[in-house]
Amino acid sequence: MADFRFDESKSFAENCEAFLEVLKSDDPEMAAILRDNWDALVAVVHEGERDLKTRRELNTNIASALDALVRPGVSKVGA
Amino acid sequence: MMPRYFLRRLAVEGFRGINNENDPLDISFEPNSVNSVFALNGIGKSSIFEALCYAIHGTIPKLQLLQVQERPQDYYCNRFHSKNAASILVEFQPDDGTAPVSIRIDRDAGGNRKITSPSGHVDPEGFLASLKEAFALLDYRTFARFIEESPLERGRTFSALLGLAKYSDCRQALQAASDSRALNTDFEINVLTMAVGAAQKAAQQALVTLRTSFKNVTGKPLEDTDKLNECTAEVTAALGDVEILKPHFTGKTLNDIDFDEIKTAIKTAEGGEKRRELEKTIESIAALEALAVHDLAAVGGEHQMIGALIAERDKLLASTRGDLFKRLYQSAREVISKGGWTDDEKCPLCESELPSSITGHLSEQLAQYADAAAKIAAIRDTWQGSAWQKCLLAHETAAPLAVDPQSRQLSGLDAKCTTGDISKDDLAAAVKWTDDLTGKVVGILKVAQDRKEALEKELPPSLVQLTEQVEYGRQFKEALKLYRDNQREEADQQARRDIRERWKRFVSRATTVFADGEAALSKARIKGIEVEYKSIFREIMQVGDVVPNLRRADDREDLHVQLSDFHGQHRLSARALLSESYRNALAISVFLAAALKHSGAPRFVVLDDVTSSFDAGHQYFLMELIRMKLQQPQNADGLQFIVLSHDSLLEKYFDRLGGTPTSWHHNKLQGSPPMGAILHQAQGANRLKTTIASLLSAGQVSHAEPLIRQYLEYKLQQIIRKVDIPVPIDFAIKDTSRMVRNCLDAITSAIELHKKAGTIVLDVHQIQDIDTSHVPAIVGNWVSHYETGSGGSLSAPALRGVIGSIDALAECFMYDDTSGGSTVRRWYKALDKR
Repeated sequence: MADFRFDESKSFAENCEAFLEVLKSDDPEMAAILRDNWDALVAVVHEGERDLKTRRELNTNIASALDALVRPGVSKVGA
Repeated sequence: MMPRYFLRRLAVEGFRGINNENDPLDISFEPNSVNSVFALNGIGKSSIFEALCYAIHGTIPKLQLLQVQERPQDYYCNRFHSKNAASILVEFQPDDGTAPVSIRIDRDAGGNRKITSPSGHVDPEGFLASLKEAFALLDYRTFARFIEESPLERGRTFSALLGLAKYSDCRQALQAASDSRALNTDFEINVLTMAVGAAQKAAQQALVTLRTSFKNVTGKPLEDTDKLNECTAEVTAALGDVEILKPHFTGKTLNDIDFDEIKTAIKTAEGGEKRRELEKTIESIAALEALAVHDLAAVGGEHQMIGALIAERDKLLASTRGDLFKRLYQSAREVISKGGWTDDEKCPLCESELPSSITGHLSEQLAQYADAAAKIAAIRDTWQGSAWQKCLLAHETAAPLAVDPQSRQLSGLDAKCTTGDISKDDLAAAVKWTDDLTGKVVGILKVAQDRKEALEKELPPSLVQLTEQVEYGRQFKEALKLYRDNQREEADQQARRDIRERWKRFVSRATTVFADGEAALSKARIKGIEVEYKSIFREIMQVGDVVPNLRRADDREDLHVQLSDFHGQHRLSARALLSESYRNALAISVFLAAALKHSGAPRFVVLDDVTSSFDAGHQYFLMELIRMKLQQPQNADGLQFIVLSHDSLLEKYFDRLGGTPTSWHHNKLQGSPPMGAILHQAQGANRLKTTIASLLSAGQVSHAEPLIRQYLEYKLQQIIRKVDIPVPIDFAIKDTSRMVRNCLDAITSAIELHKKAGTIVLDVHQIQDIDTSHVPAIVGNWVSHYETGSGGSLSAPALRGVIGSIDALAECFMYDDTSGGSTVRRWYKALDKR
C-alpha cells in the first residue's frame, strides 16, 4: 500500500474519502466493505467513548457482507 | 469558507448562582476588544462560565463529578428562582459580517433542555454542537489537568485542541474494529473452526464406509479418492451386470438407483424371513464396523481433559463468593465507572476508609469470576469440539446396540457441558456410560458375523452374495453422498473463516495506515504551533532559558511535555521541574497557540480565572500579550478574548483599560447572589437607582441599604476612574466594607493636594460644594452609620438625600464643553486639566 498522508488543507470527510480510496490498492473487495460500513464504524467511538453494541453491530454487518462474497446466493443482513 | 463566530451577548436568568428573576443578567461583549468580567468571590463569575458550558456542551463539568446520590441534576437551576427554571440567551456575531445568531437554552424544573433560536437559525442544536471546540471555554482546571494527566490522556485532549478529535475518534474506532479478540468473538471464529473440523471428521467417516462398500461390491480396494466418479461407475457396472438387477440399473446413474426397490425384487425372487434377516445382519455388521472409526484413546484423553477443567473450575468457584456477591461487585463497578462514586479509598456501602483502592479490589474480585467463567467456556469448547461427543452420538444411535431413547445420555450431557454445570460425578457417569456402549460393540459384532455366516450357509449361495452386494451398493451410494456433502460443508465453512481472516488482516493494515496518517498530521500541527507556544511562554514568564517542548509518540497518541532547555540542561520532564505558575503558563501557551491556529466555528476564547497561580507581574504580561498580539483585529487572524476574574489586582488593570481607546471592554459584576440579582456596572447603575427609589418609597429601608452601598461605590469609583484620581496600591484589596470611605478619602486627598499646589481645575463653587455639602452629607448620613456600624438606620428621606448628594458630587467633576459649537457636559480629564 502506498505511503498515505492526510492533507492539512482538506476537511475530515475529504481525508476519510482519500483514505478509503487508497485502501482499494490493498484489497478492493475489503475496501468496498469498509466503505459501505464507514458511517457505522465512525459511530463506534464518540468523544473518546467506545460503544460496544455499535461495534458488535458493525462486525455483524461486516460478517454478513463477507459471507455474501463467498456465498453469492446468500443475501446480506438487512439487505 | 464557513464563517466563525464571536460571542456578542450573554443573558442569564435562574441558572446556578444567578437568580435575576424577571431581570436577566445581561452582558454584552465586544468582538474587537478584549473583554473582561470582574466579580468578587461569590458574585456569580463562575456561573457565567458554567452558563456558557451548559449552553454549548449541555453539561457542567463540576456537576458531572458529583455522585449520583448527590443529585447533580438539582443544581443547574438557581435554587431561589420561584419557577426553578433557567434561561440562557447567547448571541454570536459571524466574522463575515452576516446577521448575528441568537440561541436560547431553557432548562425546566424537570431538567429538560430546550433549544430555540430567536434569530431564526434553522438548526440551533447543530449550531451549538459546532461550537464544541476544546479551546473555546478554558478554566484553570483544564490547564492543570493538561500537565498532570497521563501522556495518553493529554494526547487525547490535545488531539481535540488541534482540531483532530474526529481523527482520534476514528482511529480508536478502527482500533476497536480491528481488535483481534473482539473480532474472533463477533465473527464466531471458534464456531467456524469447529464446523470445519466436524465436516472433516464426518467426511472421513463416510470415506471408511466408501472404501469398505467399494471393496465388497467390486472386489478391489478404493485407492484414489480423487477418482470417486470412476469408482461410482465401477460400482454401478458391477451390480448392473447381474442379470436379475439389469432392469434396475440400465440407463441410470447411481443416484437414480432405488436400492429398496432392488431388495424387494430379490425378496420376491426368493422370499423368506431368513433373507430379510441376512440383510439386517449385514446392515448391522456395517453399522458396527463403522463405529470402529472412533478413536477411543482420543476419547479417553478428552475425558481426562474435561475432568481437569472441572477440577480447575471448582477450585476457582470456591475462591469466589457466589452469584449474589458477583452482582454486588458488578453493581459497584458500574456505580464507579459512571461517576457515581469518586472516592477510591472509601467504601461506597458504609463510607468507611479503605486501606486500598476500591477499584482495585473490585477488579480483583471480578477477575476471579472471570477466570471461573473462562474455565466454564473451556469446558464448553472442549466438549463441543470433542471426538467423544460424536462417538457417543454414533453409539447411542447405532441400531445394532439398540439403545432405548429414554436411556440415552448424550442430550443431558451436552446441556451440562454447554452450560458448564457438569460435575465430577456427572463426568464419571458419562464416562462409564460411554465405556459400556463402546465395550458392547465387539461382542455384538461377533454375534452378527456368526449369524451372517450361518444364514449364508442356509440360503442359496447366489442370492446370498447378491443380497450382500446390493446392500454394499446402497451403503456406497449413501456414503458417497455423505462424503460429498461434508466436503462441501467443510469448503464452505473454511471459506467463511478464510475471508474473515482476510478482513482481520485488512482492517489491521487499514488501522495502521490511518494511525500513521493521524500521527503525521498531529506532528505537523504540533510543529505548526511550536514557535507560537514557545514565544507565548517566553512572553508570559519573561524567561529565555526555560523552553518547553511537546513531543508526540511515534506509534501512540501519547503527548509528552518536556523542557528542551532548562537553564542549560536538556530534555527534562516539565512535570517534574516546573512550579505551578510555570506549568500553568505552559498550558496557557499551548492552548492559546493551538486556538490561534484552529479554524473551528468559535472565534472566541473564554478564560475563567486562569491566572490564579500568577503573581501580578505575570498576570500583566499575559494580559498585555492577549491585548497586543492575540486579540483581533490587532492580530488579523486573532480571536476574541473574554477574561473572567475575581482577582482585585487584575481588576485594577481591567479598570484602567476599560472604556479607553485601547480596545478593552470591561464589565464589573455586583449584586447579592444566589438569592438576589447580579448586575454589571453599566446595566446596574440606573436600575439600582430606580430600585432604591421604589424601595424607599415603600418604606423598605433595610432592603434599600445594600443597594445604596452598591450605588455609592459605583459612583465614587466612576469619579476616581474618569478624573484619574490616584489611589493607594492596596486600595482594591483593602477592607471592602470600607470602600465608600476609602473612595472619599482618595478623592478629598487628591483635591487637597491640587488646591495646595494651585493646579486644581474645578471651579470655586464645585470645590466649595464638595467640601462643605456633598462629602459631609455622605459621611454624615451614610459612612458614620453603615460602615462603622455605630449608628442605627436613617429614615428614607435621609437616604434619598445620600443618593442626591452622590449624584451632585459626581456633577462637581464635570464641566460644560462648548468648544465644538454646542454645549456638551464632560468629565474633567484630571483634577488639573479639562
